[in-house]
Amino acid sequence: MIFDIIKGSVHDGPGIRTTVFLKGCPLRCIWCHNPESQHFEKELLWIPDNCILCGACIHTCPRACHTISDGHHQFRRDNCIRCGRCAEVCPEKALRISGRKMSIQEILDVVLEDRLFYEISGGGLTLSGGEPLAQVDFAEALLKAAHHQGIHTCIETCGYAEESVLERLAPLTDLWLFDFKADFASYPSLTGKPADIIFANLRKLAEKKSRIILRCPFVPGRNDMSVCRKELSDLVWELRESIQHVEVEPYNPLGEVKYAQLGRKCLMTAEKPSDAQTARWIALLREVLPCEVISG
Amino acid sequence: MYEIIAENFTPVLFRNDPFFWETGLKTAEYNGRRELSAGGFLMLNREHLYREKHPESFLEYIMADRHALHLAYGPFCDYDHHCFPFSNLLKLGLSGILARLREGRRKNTCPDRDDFYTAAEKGLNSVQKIILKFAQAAEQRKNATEDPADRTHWERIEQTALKLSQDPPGTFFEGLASLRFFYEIGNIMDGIGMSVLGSPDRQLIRLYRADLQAGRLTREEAYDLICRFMLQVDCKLDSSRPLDKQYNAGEQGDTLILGGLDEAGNPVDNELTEMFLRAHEELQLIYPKIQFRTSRRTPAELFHLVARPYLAGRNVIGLLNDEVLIPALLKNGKTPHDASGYVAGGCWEVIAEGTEHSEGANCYFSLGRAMDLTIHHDPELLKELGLDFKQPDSASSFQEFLDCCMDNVKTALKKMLETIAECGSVWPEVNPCPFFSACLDTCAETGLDYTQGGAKYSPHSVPLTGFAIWIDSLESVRKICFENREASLQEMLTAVRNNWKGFEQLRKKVLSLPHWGGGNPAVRELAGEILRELHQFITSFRNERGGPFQCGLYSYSDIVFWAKQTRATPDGRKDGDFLAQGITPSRMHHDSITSVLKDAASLPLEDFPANSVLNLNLSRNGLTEDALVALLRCWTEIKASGMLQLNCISREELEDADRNPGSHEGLIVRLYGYSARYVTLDADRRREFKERNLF
Repeated sequence: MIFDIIKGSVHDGPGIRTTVFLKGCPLRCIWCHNPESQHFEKELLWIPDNCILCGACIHTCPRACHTISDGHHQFRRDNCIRCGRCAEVCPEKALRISGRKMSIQEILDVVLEDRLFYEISGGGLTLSGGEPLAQVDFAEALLKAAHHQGIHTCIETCGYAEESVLERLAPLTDLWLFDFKADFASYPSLTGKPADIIFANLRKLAEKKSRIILRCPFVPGRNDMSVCRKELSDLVWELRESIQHVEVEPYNPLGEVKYAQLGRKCLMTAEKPSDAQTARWIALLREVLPCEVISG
Repeated sequence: MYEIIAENFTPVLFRNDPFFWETGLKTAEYNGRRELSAGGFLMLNREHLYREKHPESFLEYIMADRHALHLAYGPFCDYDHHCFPFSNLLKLGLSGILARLREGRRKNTCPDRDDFYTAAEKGLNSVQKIILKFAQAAEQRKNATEDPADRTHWERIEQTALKLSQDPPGTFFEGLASLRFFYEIGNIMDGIGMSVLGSPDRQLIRLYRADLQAGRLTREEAYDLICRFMLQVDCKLDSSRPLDKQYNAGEQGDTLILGGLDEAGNPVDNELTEMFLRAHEELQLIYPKIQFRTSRRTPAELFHLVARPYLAGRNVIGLLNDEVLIPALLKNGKTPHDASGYVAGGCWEVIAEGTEHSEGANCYFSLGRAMDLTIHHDPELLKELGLDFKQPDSASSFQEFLDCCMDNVKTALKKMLETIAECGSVWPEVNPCPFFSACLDTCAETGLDYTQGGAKYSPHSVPLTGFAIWIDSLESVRKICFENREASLQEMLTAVRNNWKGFEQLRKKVLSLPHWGGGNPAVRELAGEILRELHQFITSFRNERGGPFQCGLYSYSDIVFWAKQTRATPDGRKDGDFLAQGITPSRMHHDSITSVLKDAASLPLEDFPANSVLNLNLSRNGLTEDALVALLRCWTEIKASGMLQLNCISREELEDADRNPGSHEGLIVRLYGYSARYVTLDADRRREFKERNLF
């Protein structure tokens, strides 16, 4: 199950890439800006502001989830089976399905369309999510197929998986974009999972001489404390032969509105850090890290 | 006029400016407008001839402008966006140009060309006199001071002016002084706009290296001169004022061309290229506009230098693609030498430097409006425009619909091209340019002014805009009405004529169809066929100077203002929605950057030597320098367009700039062939910019 494919990406690894977003993630980071990626099944996003009250959804819904009364569109999510018929007919994209099944070959066909760009730019395929490690069979098959075609591969991961998963994927992955989300102790409260498995996996990748870029979300007040900086520094010094550089990713509040669209509760609200705030955090990290730190 | 100018002007010199150029005869913000320089006198007093000689054609042509079908800037000939023939001056000097002219006169046997020779010689003599007056003024300032540094400063100007009054420059400093002076004097003498400040890395490298070798110049001194050369161009404009308080909405010419290939296909970039780019970045300039020529041989470090300002929120560099433009120029009759020396005028107007003026920005033609006029039955408007359009209602196949649309656009183009050819032939009577012409190649031999077709090449460009509307509208009708049969043609026409009101479902279907920029092979094929057909049609006409019409794909800020008059179209666009620039896809679709680039690269761009422009706005969030360089390489190597107007922006930053303009003075965006401070833009331009697709 994937929730998106983005071609021509310049933000997910070197060169121009095709990024395949696999749906479903074991973590629940409170700052997640793609909450539609968290669940492993299809979901319906409902955006009332886009609705023009045309009524097309009413006629197509098999469960009578949509009604219009007094100039207002009411949606009964509890009755919805996420069949997606309403989204198909909605002229203003007020209803949208996140998640679709695609075969390896179908995805590979899309990926291969941009082979020329990978060759010129040093790009390739990136698996992202959700969490690619959570669909290991699929990820393994896709990476294998890409490598067979001579295409450079990346995995963007939170690192939460059994060791055997990494054993299977490491030989097929040319570059890891590995998240460092917070200090060790804060992981459970901020992401919903403990850090021990994650950092153990990171060390295993380093042992295998994998190439790694650490990606660090920057959420002021949550993960910019000195303890976080210290632990990140210790980790990078320890694994400096594998870690290419560190990317700082400022919190993006775009996800906040999506929670409401999914009918779920938003776990955190905050302003996007200013450029100056981000620059200050990067400068602080540069003081202690033995590698380049860039804004990602 | 030349003699009066030379006799009566007063040279103005500056204590901290090593160059001499200020005559007081044109405004700082001059961009070719006739009322803003002394040489505009002739045109101001004679442009009535256009109207008087062909009153009916004149009126219909102007109406087409008012009704957003095509531009009528000039109105028939582009008196702006020129490039002074620097390379000829740098090679021959004024005395050499004069000698060439006299030699031409001696050999010429046509007595009716005497006037040209006489006027051109007077022009050259007057310019010599003007330079000598600068030399004299500098000498007086020198003699009036005891300060050694001051004396050195004035003496350098004096000696340089004396030299350039006769000879080509012999040093790097003299080369820069030549570019600065002749740019200015070209604008003044003939009243036509010179936009280009030269290709200094290409034109001055020999002088620079000779100076270094002889110990006359250090690299640091050269860098300082480069800074002063460019700083003056930028600081004359107050770009922090709101746009409506700036002349011409903040847009000026003042273009500098860097990089590119030579006629053997080797890169010409050198240490000067790097120094100009570094100086532009260090001084945080907007002007001069840098137009950087890329090729598959452009070194990585130069790509990185070009990429850096974008990532700092300064979208100030235009990108020209030698892999597209040189083959296009060659295919359209230029020699390898002339093709490789091309420059882009004010915004994008490709000119073979030293040999032509391409007239690239006076008759932008809107394919979007042509589609509008085809769909919306409007006999009164068509009558005002003097056009007889067919109605598409009775088409029983896509081919018939397509034929109707193509016949109509050809009808409109034919009228425009024939009017330009007929009425534009008055241009030599309105504003002959003997001085400028004498400096161009072959006018001395032919004895004809460039306005009469005396230059080596005499093309007139026809830039098309609204390309995405045209292609997507045709594809929409093909699919909906004739392939899928989801609506009849009559239903589709009714929907469009009602601005899609009551037809939301149909519009949704239209918006989900294959479209330009979406990587669909059938759409690519259709787009290619249409461009080939339009190219064949347009180039079958001869222009006002006897030269060819050549095709282009770009437009100016018309995508904002014409849009207001352009009604709904079958591509799903509603009344007044903005047009897309050049070959840029519609704003209604959000495709991947790679499918956009591949679609663009599939077009027969070698038939569009006037230029083909693509806009791309990239999200700056998380964009690294390496990634941007990778993208620029791809654009270059797959030959996706002749020019790229690139912006790297953050949506949040734009929104914050709207709320807190004082905190975003340094945010500069690329608009319509030029860059401006975002916070100075008016509401229309801001909205247009923000509504562009963000990749």
